[in-house]
Amino acid sequence: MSNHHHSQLDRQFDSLPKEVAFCKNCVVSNQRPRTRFNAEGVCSACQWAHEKDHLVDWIERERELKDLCDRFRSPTGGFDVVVPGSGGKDSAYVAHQLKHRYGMHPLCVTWAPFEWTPIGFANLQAFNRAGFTNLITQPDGKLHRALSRLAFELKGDAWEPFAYGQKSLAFHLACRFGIKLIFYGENGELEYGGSERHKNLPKEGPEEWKDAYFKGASLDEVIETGLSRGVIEKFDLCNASLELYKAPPLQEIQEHGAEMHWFSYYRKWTPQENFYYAARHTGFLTNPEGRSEGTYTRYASLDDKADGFHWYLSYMKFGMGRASRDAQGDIRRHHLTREEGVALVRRYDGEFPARYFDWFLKYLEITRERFWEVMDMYRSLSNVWRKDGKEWVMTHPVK
Amino acid sequence: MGCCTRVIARLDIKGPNVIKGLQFEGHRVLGTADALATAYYRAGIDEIIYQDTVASLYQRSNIAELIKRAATGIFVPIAVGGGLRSIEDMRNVLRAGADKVILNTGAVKSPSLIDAGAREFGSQCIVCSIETARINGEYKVWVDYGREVSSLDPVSWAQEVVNRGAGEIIINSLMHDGMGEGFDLDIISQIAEKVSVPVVASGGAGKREHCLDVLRSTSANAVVVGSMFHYHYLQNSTQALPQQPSHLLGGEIDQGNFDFIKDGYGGDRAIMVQPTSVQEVKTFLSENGIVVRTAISSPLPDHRVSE
Amino acid sequence: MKTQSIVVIDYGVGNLFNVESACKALDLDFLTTTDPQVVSNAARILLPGVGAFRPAMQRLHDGGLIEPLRNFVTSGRPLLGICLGMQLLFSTSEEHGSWNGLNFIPGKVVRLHEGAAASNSQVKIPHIGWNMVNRSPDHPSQSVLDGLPAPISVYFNHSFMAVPVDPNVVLGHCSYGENSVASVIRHNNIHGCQFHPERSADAGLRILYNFAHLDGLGSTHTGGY
Repeated sequence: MSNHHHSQLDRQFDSLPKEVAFCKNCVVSNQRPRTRFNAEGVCSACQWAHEKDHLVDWIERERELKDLCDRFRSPTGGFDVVVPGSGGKDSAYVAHQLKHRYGMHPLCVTWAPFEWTPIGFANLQAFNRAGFTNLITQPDGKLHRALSRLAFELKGDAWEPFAYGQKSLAFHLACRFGIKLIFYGENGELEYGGSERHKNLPKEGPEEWKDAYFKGASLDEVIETGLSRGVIEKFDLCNASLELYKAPPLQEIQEHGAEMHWFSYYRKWTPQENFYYAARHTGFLTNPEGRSEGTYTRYASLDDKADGFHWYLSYMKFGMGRASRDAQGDIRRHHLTREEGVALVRRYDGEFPARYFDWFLKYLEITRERFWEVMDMYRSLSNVWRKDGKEWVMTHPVK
Repeated sequence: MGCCTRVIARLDIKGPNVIKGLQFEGHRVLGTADALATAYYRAGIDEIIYQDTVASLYQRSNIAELIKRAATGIFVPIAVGGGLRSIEDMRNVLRAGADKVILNTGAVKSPSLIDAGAREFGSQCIVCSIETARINGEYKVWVDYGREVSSLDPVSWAQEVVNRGAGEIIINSLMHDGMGEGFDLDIISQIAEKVSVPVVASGGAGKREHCLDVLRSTSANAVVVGSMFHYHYLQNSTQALPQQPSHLLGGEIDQGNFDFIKDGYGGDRAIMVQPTSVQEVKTFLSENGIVVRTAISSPLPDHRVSE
Repeated sequence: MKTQSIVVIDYGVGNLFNVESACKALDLDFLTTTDPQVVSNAARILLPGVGAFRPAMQRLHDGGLIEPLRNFVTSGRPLLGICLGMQLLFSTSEEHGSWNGLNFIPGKVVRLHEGAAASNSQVKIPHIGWNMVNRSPDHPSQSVLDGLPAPISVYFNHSFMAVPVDPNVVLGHCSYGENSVASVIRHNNIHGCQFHPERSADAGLRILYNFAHLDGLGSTHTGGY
């Protein structure tokens, strides 16, 4: 396989600064795509956190939410809001709040993980039994697997097809069911320090997804590249399931009047409080096997066996894995001091997700060697790793 | 007649604050250690446990100052744990005013630490805390404040620590902790009936009936209560509210989740337990045949206050 | 009447900080020392102690404290031994062997029995927790228990107990299983608590206060009380 710079479709590398620097406040580095630092060296997500604490008028924002709900609420008690989720703490919080505090009638939708973990499935069931209708969608399994393989070869991220569907499914179902309102939990870009385009906007549309979520290369491009390079040999381009990985045509969305909003715009978003809330109201339980691999937490993103590899790739590309991401958020919300965040990242970040490695290799039908070949290719492209003899060494561990 | 059953408060410490999670996850700040410990002492608590939740992360213990303050004004026993890995660690904590040290991770990693501690300070100073939860159907011993599972079986480990010189055992059930659904009666009774030292039940008290249940269904000698007390005293004690977190993001004061306190009690901010006072628990136990200590007031001549 | 200064002996064993804190809270004049000279000249002495008998005796010996203590006691000045500090006052201990104590009070220190009084079950050793100390019937009118109700609840943490030759030495005792534990003792000017008064909340603080206000004859001066 070629090791050329161009053999992968992650365009984010092109715009990363060569000099590595860390946020003065949290543990993110400037290697995280689309993260900006201000003149004081504080990242955009931390700045937003400060605004959340001091500048945003949350009372006013909640008023807007109530007005929004009043507008969209079904007078007959039919489904009036789509809430995408996985049974995890965040979507459980959103769905439960919409139902019980704002009087809405949520239709929950789950885009299935590659493979449920036992605790993930248990939490989803507990959520359902707490009183929520949930539609679980599993795309064509063979297709999903092929796309996953493709994404791995071209972007190093086998998890990406999940992300496509996670974004699109809600729109498909909203249009099919005639529901006009979709509510996601958090604006990930804003909360985690990417694009600030929507800092003061409650919603976004699919036209904005390409750069924000798909590393600058959409699904069609990925498939085309894959075919042209022989990464994938045969491909059923007429597979109806492919539709689900993209949002419905914009026109259709506009005709149906479907809008996607973020709950985090209207209510101050605190994932840890979502955890307490979900434990109380929807039977959410932490990971009984201990902390998730690569981090110190036991309550976040528990449901997919493939998850760990998405974070590990991030560690390869940018030197920041799951622990770093968790610590960034916890620091911004004043749950940890920076010192503690650094200690946690140094201890847990980049821990290899060994538990489901065999499953992962089998799922992608790749060998251990190929896996590491791809990982190492990204490492060599990154600004944060260098090879010292046979060992890879981080050039800029967080401090 | 024998010993009274002890009702013990547990303070999970992060910096100056008391935090409390669910299943050892999450770190909601519920007050300062100083304020809550004082409230418990005044309410008639029999003993206080201080569990340093970040010591093992930093490879150092900062809790000595906190203990000194506590020991200066609180005249019931104090047990301290969290990141104690050496005789020196234990000595520092005992010098600062702890009556007992609590070992978990340190002892699992190096069991001879128990022997050494018992030789140096006496068995009555050495408490072993056993964090336990089922994994794949079997109970195992957990370490590092609920983060890692060991291969040890809690019942045999309990016997081993006693043989090595531990004077007391606390059994802490990971999956019950903070959930307010009662203690893990199964593992507590398994261990309590096998060891000759006092056994303390911890993890899961959500209402006073749970305390009675564990004392009736197992031979535990004492109960530890966390959330059930914290949420009560938090509501009633404005002194327990810490200062507003500094406007400097990530400053020293950012130790724990303040969102619960800042945004009010109840409502959206969910609580898993029924907030209950120390006296309510003691009275209830007493009414149900469990002998508990009732604090007496012994005013000193010339009305000097002893606190 | 101003209390006389209490000398708290530091011989590397025991929870000094807590004893000191209690003294401070009671506004008592005290001094912690390792110096045998200071011990010799003390007006009254607190002997704390936690841990095992033999090492504690060894430390007293190595610190040159045994003779000064003996002289102090002989002179009739008040001394209070706490927990292990009380056990050391006796003749021998069977803890991990057979060891000689200070022999200020005839008697021995023996292990608590595991048997429970009424049933076939056992009690746990160590005896840890709050237990009720009752006054002995011939309890003298003035002692460290003055002003306290009976019984009192105080905090114990021990595996061995003192058994004096003369039972009248025991002013207060508690039951633990089939054990009758000598909890408060007095032999002339020598006092002892098997429990930890510095950890026994109001009751314990009152005991320390009483000790601080005893005169040489063992009666308490209480000012305006």
